[in-house]
Amino acid sequence: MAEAASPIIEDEEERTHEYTDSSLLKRLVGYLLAYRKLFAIDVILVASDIALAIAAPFVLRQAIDVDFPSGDLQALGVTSLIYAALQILTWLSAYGSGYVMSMMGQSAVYKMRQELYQHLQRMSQDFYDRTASGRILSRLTNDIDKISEFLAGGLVDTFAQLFVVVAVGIVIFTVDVQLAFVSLAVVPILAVTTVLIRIRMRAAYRRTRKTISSVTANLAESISGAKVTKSFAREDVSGERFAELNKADYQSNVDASRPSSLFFPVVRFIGGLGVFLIIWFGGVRLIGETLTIGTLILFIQFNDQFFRPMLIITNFYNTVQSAFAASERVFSIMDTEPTITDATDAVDIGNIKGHISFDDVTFQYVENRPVLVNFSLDIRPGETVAIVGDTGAGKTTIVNLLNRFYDINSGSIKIDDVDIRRVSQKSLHSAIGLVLQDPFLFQGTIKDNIRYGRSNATEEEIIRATEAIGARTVFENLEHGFDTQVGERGLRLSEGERQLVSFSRALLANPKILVLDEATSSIDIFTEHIIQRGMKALIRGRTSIVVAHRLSTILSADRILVLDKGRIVESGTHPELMAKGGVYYSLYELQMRPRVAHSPTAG
Amino acid sequence: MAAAGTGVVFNTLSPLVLVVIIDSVIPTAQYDLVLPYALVFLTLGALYAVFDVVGRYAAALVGQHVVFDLRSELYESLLEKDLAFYDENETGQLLARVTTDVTTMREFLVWGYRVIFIGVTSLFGTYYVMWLLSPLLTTYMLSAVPFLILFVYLYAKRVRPLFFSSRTQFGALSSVLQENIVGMRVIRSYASEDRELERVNRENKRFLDIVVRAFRLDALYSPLMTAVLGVSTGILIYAGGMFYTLHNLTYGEFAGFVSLVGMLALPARFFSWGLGMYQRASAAAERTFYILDQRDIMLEPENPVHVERLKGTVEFDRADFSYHGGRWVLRDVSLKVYPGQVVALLGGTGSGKTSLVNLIPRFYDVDSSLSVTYKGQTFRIDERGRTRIDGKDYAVSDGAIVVDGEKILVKQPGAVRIDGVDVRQYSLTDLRRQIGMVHQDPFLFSASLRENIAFARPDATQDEVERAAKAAMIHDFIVTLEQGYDTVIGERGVTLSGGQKQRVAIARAILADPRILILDDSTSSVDAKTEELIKQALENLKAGRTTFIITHRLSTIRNADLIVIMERGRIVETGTHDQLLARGGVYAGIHTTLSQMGSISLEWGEMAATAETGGGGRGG
Repeated sequence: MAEAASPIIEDEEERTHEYTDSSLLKRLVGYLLAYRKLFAIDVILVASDIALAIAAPFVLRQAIDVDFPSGDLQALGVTSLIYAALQILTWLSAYGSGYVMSMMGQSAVYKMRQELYQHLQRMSQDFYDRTASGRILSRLTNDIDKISEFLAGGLVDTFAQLFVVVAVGIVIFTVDVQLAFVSLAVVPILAVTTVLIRIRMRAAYRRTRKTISSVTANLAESISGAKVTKSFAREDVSGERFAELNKADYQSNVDASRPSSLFFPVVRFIGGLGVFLIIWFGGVRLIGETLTIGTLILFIQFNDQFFRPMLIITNFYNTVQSAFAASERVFSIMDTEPTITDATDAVDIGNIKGHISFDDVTFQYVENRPVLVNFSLDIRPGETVAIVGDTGAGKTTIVNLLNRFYDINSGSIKIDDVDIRRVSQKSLHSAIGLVLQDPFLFQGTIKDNIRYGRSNATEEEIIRATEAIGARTVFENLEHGFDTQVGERGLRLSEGERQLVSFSRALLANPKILVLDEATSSIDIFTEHIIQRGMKALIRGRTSIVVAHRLSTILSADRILVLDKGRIVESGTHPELMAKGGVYYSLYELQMRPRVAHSPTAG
Repeated sequence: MAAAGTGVVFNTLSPLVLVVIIDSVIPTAQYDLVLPYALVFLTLGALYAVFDVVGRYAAALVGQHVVFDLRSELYESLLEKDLAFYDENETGQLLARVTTDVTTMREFLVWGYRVIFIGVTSLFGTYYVMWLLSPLLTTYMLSAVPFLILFVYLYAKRVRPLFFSSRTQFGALSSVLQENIVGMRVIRSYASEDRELERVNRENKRFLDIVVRAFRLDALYSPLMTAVLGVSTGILIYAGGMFYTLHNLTYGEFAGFVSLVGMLALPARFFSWGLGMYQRASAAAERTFYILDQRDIMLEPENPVHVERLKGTVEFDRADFSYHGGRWVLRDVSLKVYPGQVVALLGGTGSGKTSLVNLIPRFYDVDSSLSVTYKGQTFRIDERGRTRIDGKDYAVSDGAIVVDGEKILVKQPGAVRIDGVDVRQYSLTDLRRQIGMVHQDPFLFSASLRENIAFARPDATQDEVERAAKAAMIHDFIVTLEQGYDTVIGERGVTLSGGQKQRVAIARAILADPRILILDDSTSSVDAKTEELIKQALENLKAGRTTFIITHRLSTIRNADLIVIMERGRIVETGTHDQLLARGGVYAGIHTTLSQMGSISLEWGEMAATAETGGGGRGG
C-alpha cells in the first residue's frame, strides 16, 4: 500500500554497498573458479573450438584456389571431407563445452544460493523486522536466477569469443596485410557505438530489476493478505495498486527494450560495413589480379567470424547487465554483516542449570526510545516467573533479549554466570525453548513438526510428549492422526491445534529454560482445559519465564513480576502482592475484580 | 512481424551482389562499377538493420504488453479464488508462477516467437535465392533439411519435459525458501539452522541436477544444427568443384552459395534458440494457466442479487461443509440469527465454528452433494445417484436408499441464507462489503496506518478515519507516533503489538460499517488494560449489527443473545446463558469444569479473559 504513493520502492539496503562492474565480475568468476578442473576442461574445449573455426575458411580457400582450377576430384574429395570433419569436431567440442559450462555454472549458482541462504540464517532479527520477506525471497529466486543465466549461460564461451576476435584479427594479417587493415577499419566505430548504447542499457536494466522486485513484494503480500482483501471486498483497490506496479514494470521493460533493440542490428550493420569495404577494396584488387577469389571469400568468412562473436557478446550483454544488477543485490545482502555475531572465542553453553540474571540492562529498539532502563532480574534454576504488565511494558523485549535476538546497549545478561554474548547463539537457542503466541509450523506432518526440536526422537517419545501435553487424542482424532499434513505454515490446522503441536515440540526438545510468550492465549476453553495440565508438565524441572498467561499460571508461579515502562515495579507471589496493596493489587482490583464480582456463582 | 519479414528479404538478397561482382564486374575489369555494387550491398545491409530495429522494438512492445495483461489477469484471478485454493497451493509456488514464470513467458513472447518466425522466413528465403542461382546445387543442399527437421523434433521432444520439471522443482525450492524466511524465528529458537540448511540444500541440489540434465541435452542439440550445415558446406565444396568442371558453375555463383549456406546457420541457430525459449515458456505457461483455469471454482452468480443494505438475518439451513469433498467439517447445521443479535460460538478445536462463520461471506461454500447417514456415518451420493456403503453399491430411488431392508432418506444439500436469500445468489462484492471480520491475528498491510484503517473505503476522509480509530480505542496511540496516521507499519505489522494490531483491525471494520460482524477469538492476546480498550471498541463496533463471536471469554458469552455450542461439526446446544445453565447439558458442564480450575472458583473464566498480560510484538 505504501507503494501507492511511489510505485517504485527505493531499497535502502540496495544502497548500502557500492560495487564496480569489475569487482562484481571478479566475484562472479570466483564462483566458477571453484571448479578449476571443469574450468580447465572447458578452456581446452573452447580453445579447440576456436582453432577449428579458424581452420575452416582456409580449407575453403584451398578448394577454391587450388582444387577447383586443377579439376582434381580426388583432391577435392579429401578437402571437402576435411571440411566436414572439422564441422563434426566443432559440434562435439561445442557439446562438451556447453555441458561442462552448464555443470560448472549451475553448480556455482547452487553454491551461491546456498551461501546466500546460509547468510540469511545468520542475519539478526532486526534485519527481518526491517526487510519484507517478499524482497528477501526475490533475492533468493529471481536474482539468483538472473545470475545463473550469466554464469551457466556461457560466460566462458562468450569470453572465449573475445579470443576468437583476437585470433581472427591476427590470422588475417598473415594472409593479406592491406585487406586486414581494411576489414579492421570498422573497429573504432564499433567501440564507440557499443559504449554509447551500453550506458543507456545498464540504467534501463537496473530499473527493470527494481520494478519486478516491487511487483513480487506486492504479490507476496497480496497472497498472504488475500483473506482480508476478500472480506472487505477490496479486490478492486488492491488490483489497482497492483496494476500500478505492473504498469511501472511494463514501462521500465519497454524502456529497456529500446536501446537493446537497437544494439543487435547496429552491430550487425557495422559488420556489413566491414564486408562492404572488403568487397570494394578486394574487388578492385581482384581485377588487378593481386588477389585470388579464394582469399576474398576467406576474408568475407573471417569478417563473419569476427562479428559473430561480437553479436554473441552483444546478445549476452543483456544477460550480463541484469546479472550484474542482480548480483549487486545478492552481494549487498551477503556483505551485510549480521548485527549480532558469535564472539570469535564463543563457546558452547553446555549443560546448564538454568540460572538467569539480567544485570543493569539498558536496551532500545529505536534511538532515544529506551524500552528497558537499568533493568536487573535474577531467576533461580527451576523457578517459574510470571511477567505481567501493560502493552509496551517490555515483556516481549525481555524474551527477545534472553534469546539474543537483539543485543543490549549496556549491562549484561548471564546464564549460569556466563554472559550470553560469550556463548554461541546456536547453543544458547538450544538451551532455551521458546513457545510463541502465533505458533509457526513447517510443511509436513504433525509428527515432523513435533520432532522439530529433536530430529532423532522416536515415535514413542513423540507420543509420550503429546500425551504429557494432553494433545494425543486431539491429534489422533484428526483424519490421518499424527501423519496429518499441516499445510503451509500449519494453516490447515486450527489455531489451537497448532499451539498444541508447538507445545509438544517444545516439550520434546526438553530445554533447560522455557519461555512462553503469550502461549496460551489462542487456545479455546476446551483445549485450554486440556493444556493446563500439559503446561504444568512443560514447566516442571525447568527455569520458566511465562509472559501473558492465565491467572491459574500466575497463581502457581514462584514469583510474579509486575512490569511497567521497562521497570520491575513489584515482585512476589499472588498473596504477597495482594497484601502489599500496590500496582498488582490495583491491577487486580481494577481489571479483574469488578468482573469477578459480576459473575454468577458456579453451577 | 512485417518489419522483420521485410528485413529478412533484404538480408537474403545481399549475397547476390557478391555473385554479380565476381562474375560480371571482375572478369570485365570494370573498376568504376565495384564501388556502386559494393554500395548496393551496404544499402541492403542498412535496410535490414532499420527494419530489424523496428521489428525488435515492436516485438518487445507486444511481448511486454502481453505480460502486463497476463500478470493483471493472474492477479485478478488470484483474488477471485476461494480460500481452499490458498490452503492447497503454497504461497511460494504461487509467487513463482506469477513472477518467474511470467518472465520466462515474456522472454519467449518478446524474442522467441520472433526468432522462430525469422528463422522460418530466412530459411525459405535463403533456399529460394539459392534456387535462383543454381537449382541443381540447391537440390543437393536440400538433403540437409530432413536432418534439421529431425533434430529440431528430437530437441523439442526430449528437452521440453526436463524444462518443465525444472520449473516445478524451482517452485518447490522457492516454497522451502519462503517458508524458512518467514519462519526464521522458529528455526533460530530451535537452533535448527543446520537442519534447515540441509533441507534447502536438498531442494537446491535437486534443482541443480534437473537443470544440468536439461542443459546437457540443450548443449547436445543446439550446436547440432550448425554442424549439419557445416557438413553440408563440405558436400557443397565437393559438388561445387564437380559442377565447376562439369557444368560451368562460376566462381561467383559458388561464392554466393557459400555465403548463403553460411546464412542458413543463422535461422538454424535462431530456430533452436526459439525452441529452447518455447520449451521453457510453455512449461511456465502450463503452470501459469493452471491458476487462470482454476478461476471457476467460485464465481459470481449469473444473475447476482444486488443489495444496498442487508437487514442481517442469517440462517443456516441444514448446511453441510467439507473441504473439497473430504471429511465432513460441518454436518446438518441449522441456526437462525435475527438482525442485531449477538451469537457466541463455543466449541473445541476442530469443532467447526470457524468453518461455520466462513460460510457467511462465502470464503467457502456449503457442500452441494446429496448424502445419506447410515449407522452414524455419512455417505456422499455421486452425480449418478449412487453411493457405496461397506463396499456395496446402492442406488437412490424415490429420494431414499434401502440398506438391509431399512429405508434411509437422502439428505438434500443445505444452504446459508441472509435475509432469506441464498448467499450464493448475492453479488459477491455486495455480500462481502456488508460482512466485517476481525481476526485474532489480523493481517495488516505494509502501508500507513491510515491506509490500513481506510482499507475498505480508501476515499474516507481523515475525519472519518480518526473517528473509526477513536471508536476502536487506537487513536490515542496513533497520535503519539511521530508520523501519526502516516506511520508505515511493517510487513505483517511487526512493529505493532498484538493488541494494537487488533484495534487497527477493529477500526478497519468500523470504517467499513458492515451489517454482519464476525469476530474470531479476537480479544485474547492482550493485556488487561488493552483488553478493556478492546472490549469498549467492540461494544462500539457491535452496536446495531448481527454479530458472531467465536470466543472463550465467559463474560462475552454470558452477555450473548444466543450461545451455540459446537462439537465435531454439529450444533449440540443453543440457548441463552441462563437457559443453558438450567438445562444442565454441555454448557453447564463446561461452566463447572472451568469453575473448578484454578484456586478461585469462577474467577478463572474471567481471568482467562483479563489476566493475559502479553504485550506482543515489540512492545511499542
